[in-house]
Formats: sequence, C-alpha cells, structure tokens
Amino acid sequence: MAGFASYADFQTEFNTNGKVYRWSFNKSSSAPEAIGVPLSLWRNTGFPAAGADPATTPGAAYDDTAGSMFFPDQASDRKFLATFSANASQSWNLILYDRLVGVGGVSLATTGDKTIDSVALPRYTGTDAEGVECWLEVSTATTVTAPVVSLNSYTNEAGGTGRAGGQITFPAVATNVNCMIGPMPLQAGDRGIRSVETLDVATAATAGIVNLVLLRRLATLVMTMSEVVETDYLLQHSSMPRIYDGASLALMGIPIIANSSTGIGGEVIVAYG
Amino acid sequence: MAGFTSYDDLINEITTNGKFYERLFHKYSTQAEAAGVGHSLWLAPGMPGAGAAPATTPGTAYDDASGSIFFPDQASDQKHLITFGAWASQGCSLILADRLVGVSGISLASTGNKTINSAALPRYSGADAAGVEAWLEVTTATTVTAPIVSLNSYTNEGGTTGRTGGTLTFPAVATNVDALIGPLPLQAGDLGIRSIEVGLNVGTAASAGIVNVLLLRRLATIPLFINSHNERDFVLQFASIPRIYDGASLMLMIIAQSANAVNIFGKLTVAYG
Repeated sequence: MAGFASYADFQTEFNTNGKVYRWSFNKSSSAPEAIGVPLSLWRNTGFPAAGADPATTPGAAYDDTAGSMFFPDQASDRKFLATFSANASQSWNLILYDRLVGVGGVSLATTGDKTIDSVALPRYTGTDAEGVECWLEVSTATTVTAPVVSLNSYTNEAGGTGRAGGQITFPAVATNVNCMIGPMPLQAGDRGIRSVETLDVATAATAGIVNLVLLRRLATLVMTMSEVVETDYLLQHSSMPRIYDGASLALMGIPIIANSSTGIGGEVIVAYG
Repeated sequence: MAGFTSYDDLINEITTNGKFYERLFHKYSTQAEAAGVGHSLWLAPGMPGAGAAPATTPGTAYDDASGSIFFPDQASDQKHLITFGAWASQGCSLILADRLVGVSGISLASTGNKTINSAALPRYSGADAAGVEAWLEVTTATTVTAPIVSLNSYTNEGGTTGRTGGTLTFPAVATNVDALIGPLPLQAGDLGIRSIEVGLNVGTAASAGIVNVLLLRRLATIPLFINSHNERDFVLQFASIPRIYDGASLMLMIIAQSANAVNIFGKLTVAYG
C-alpha cells in the first residue's frame, strides 16, 4: 500500500530501497520590488534553467515542465517532501510551490475584464482545488500608475461559477519584472480556485503585462543572510507535503531586511513509498 | 480507537491512509488599532473569503461556517492540528481560534446591561467550556469616549449562573473596526464561559460603537516577525497536538505590533485517525 506505515518503513524505503529523489537548485534573482513583496524565480537563470512564459489564453497546464523541479511519476507509490533546504546571500523567505496553470500576456495597460479562461487544473482537481491560489507574475514592468486588479469571474473549489473577489493594488507605479502579486482575494466563503475566467483591471497602468498563475504553496523557509536553513517535514514539521505525479515545483522569494537581489542555492529531497 | 497510538501510527495515517487536510490561507487585514491590541481577520478578504456577521441575540452558533477554515466531520476519528505557519507583512502574533458563538449588534453608545442571551456552545459544552473566552469584535468604530465594559451576567464552565467579571477599557476613544477587545475578565475562580446572559455591561459609553460579542477558544499562536515566515509543529516541537472538533470554525486573529494593516498568508495541517 502506498505511503509509509511507520518511521521504520520510511527509513527502509529511503535508505535500503533507495526510494529518494534529490534536486539541488540554484537561482539568481532579479531586482526585487521592495521588502515584503514576493518575487518569482521562475524566469531566472540557474538550475533548473529559466522557465518559459506560459501561452496566452487559455494558457498551459504544468506537468513535469521544463524550468521546474520535477520527479518521475510513481504509479504505485506516493511521493512526499522530506526536506527543503536553502541559503541565500540576503535574508529572504523562500516558498516552494507547485505551479499548476499559467496564462500569459495579460495586459494591465487598459481597464476592463481580461479574458483568461484558464485550462483545467492538472492536479488538485474537483474539490481538491481548495487551497489553489491565483497570483500575477509580472512579465513586463508597469509604468505611470499602480494597477488595481481583482478576480472578476472564477470558479471556486466547489465548482461555483461567476465568483468575484476583492481588489489588490500593485505595490508600485513601476512594479518590477518578476514580482508576484497576490494571492488574489476570493469571494466571501470561497477556499480555492478551479479556474479563472476573467481578471478585472479597475485601474490601468500605461504599460504592464502579467502571467496569471494558479499554484499551490507547499513549504516555506526563512533564510538568514548566508546561513543554510533546512526543514525536515517528517520529524521536525510533521506535515509531509504530498508531491503529486506531474508536480512542477518552482520557487518564489520575499525579501526580509534589504531590497536586494540574491543568489539562492538549496536542495529538495523527496521520498516515495 | 480514535487518536494516534504512536508517531508511527501518525505517519501511517497521513501517508498511507491519506487522513490529512492541508489548508492554505491568506488575509488582507484592515488597519490595526495599535500595538498590543487584538484585530480580527474574520471580515478580511482573502482565502477563506470574508465571513458573515453573526445574527443578533441569541446570535449564531458556528458549525463549519462559511468564512472559516473547516474540515469534514469524522465520525470515528479525531482531528488534530499538526502544523501552523504563516508570513506577515507586519510583525504580529497570529492566533488560530475556534469561533464558537457570535452575537451581533451590541451597542456601546449607552450605558447599562446589554442583552446577549448567547446561543448554546456548539462545542466545548458543559465543563469543557473551561478555556472558552469572550471577546468583543468592533463592527462600528467607537467615538468620543473609550468605552468601559464588563461581563455582568454569564454562566461559567461549571454551570453556575449570574457570574460577574471585571472591567475592561477600550484602547482608544476611536477604536477601529475589526479591533478585538478581550478576553473579558471573569469572576474570581472561573475558568471559562458557557454563555452570556444579560449580559454585557457598558459602564462608560461611547457616542457611537457597535460590537459582536464572541465566544471562542484559542488553539494556537505563532509569533511573526515582519516579513519573516514562522511555522510550528504541534506533534514533536510543541507536543500539544490541539484537538479540532467536528464543526470547528477556525478563524484568524492577530495581536498587532503596530497600527498598520497586515497581509498574511500561511498554511495549517490537520491529521485525523
């Protein structure tokens, strides 16, 4: 039966049967927008290599996608995050997430409802969409005016359509490329997103393009400048996040102390049984 | 038998039997009142979406309430909090609480005893009411005078009626909407509240101000430094393994470190067996 029957079973699978994957990553971030504003590492050089911007509507579903960290499918076993470690030249939070769907080329340069019509989630389908969030990944910097945006029409985790959430204001008039704006607020009572139909731009910038990304956060580290940080998800935080087949793991960071770009290196260890 | 017989049993239930819930959340708060003052995220947009105001007396007993973080009932298993972690844009203490009963529309604009006659607790009934607290959730800001309030007549955890607690002064003349004032002091020797009757005494009135009277039970608290993620494990790190009862309607609240709005996102995990 898939999963680990005990800690001893985990050790046997991990050590004796070699059912472990290790992915060492490194990324060089671009210039962050500000302390406390998330920054995507998807489009940055390193290992994995830079990911591509998604296609325009209806976008693309991510499945072991180039640019992400991914692992072979396991038909009869289940994969779990065992440890997540990193160090950085600046103090940052580092978030590991499963990148599910992206819709590229969404312009913020005019007001009104932008057609998204995102493709179906490749994982966390149906009511498992609870916890799926919508973020906006800046691919062309905004200018002149800080946009104000909201989810004007989306389908929630229960399949309810035409849902509408609250507004978010971009952190700056000129919001840097790779900024991650979100999570987008949901309508009262909602707990996740199956798909996004339209994004409303209530206040437009003069320029600015975003990728609309549906993702699920898995783990977060707090990195102190130049110190390695590691979390064990079996004995330290007993949450053992599940890594589903097709998972396309990516990183985003949040500067803590200084608004400076950073180099990040680390490792993701996944065990399966 | 419900519960976990060992740590191995917990690993088995989570990874093999899939008896695990993961709830991601994000909230965009209104402006906090001041450092050291509680602030409710119940009405804040995000995920879960904003909750609704409770009914007027006798109020609303919360059971898997929309706007809360909740989980399916487990007839033969017990649910327990495994991890709770978050990031915040301002320093604060983040509290996870089970929102039990709310009574809306309590005016602080005149002195005297306000009728509450709160509905019966949906959980922590009888002597298990030890630890149930009363808080006031501001829905209309106070003006001109900082109110002074007290519990004038409540039923304690032992079932004794007519109990009276000490006074509490609001933190400011103009106390912000969403401020959480409390916990309200109890009579000497009391450990909790089953219900509030007539009820809330307003010893000094404001010129305006309306509150929800809440009965809640705090489950977990994590300190959050500005822009730094923090996460706690309640099995091996803080071995308290808080119980999450069927019907639990979990809400988030903060003790602010400044009079700023706070953006928060995080995750909690619950296992059952």
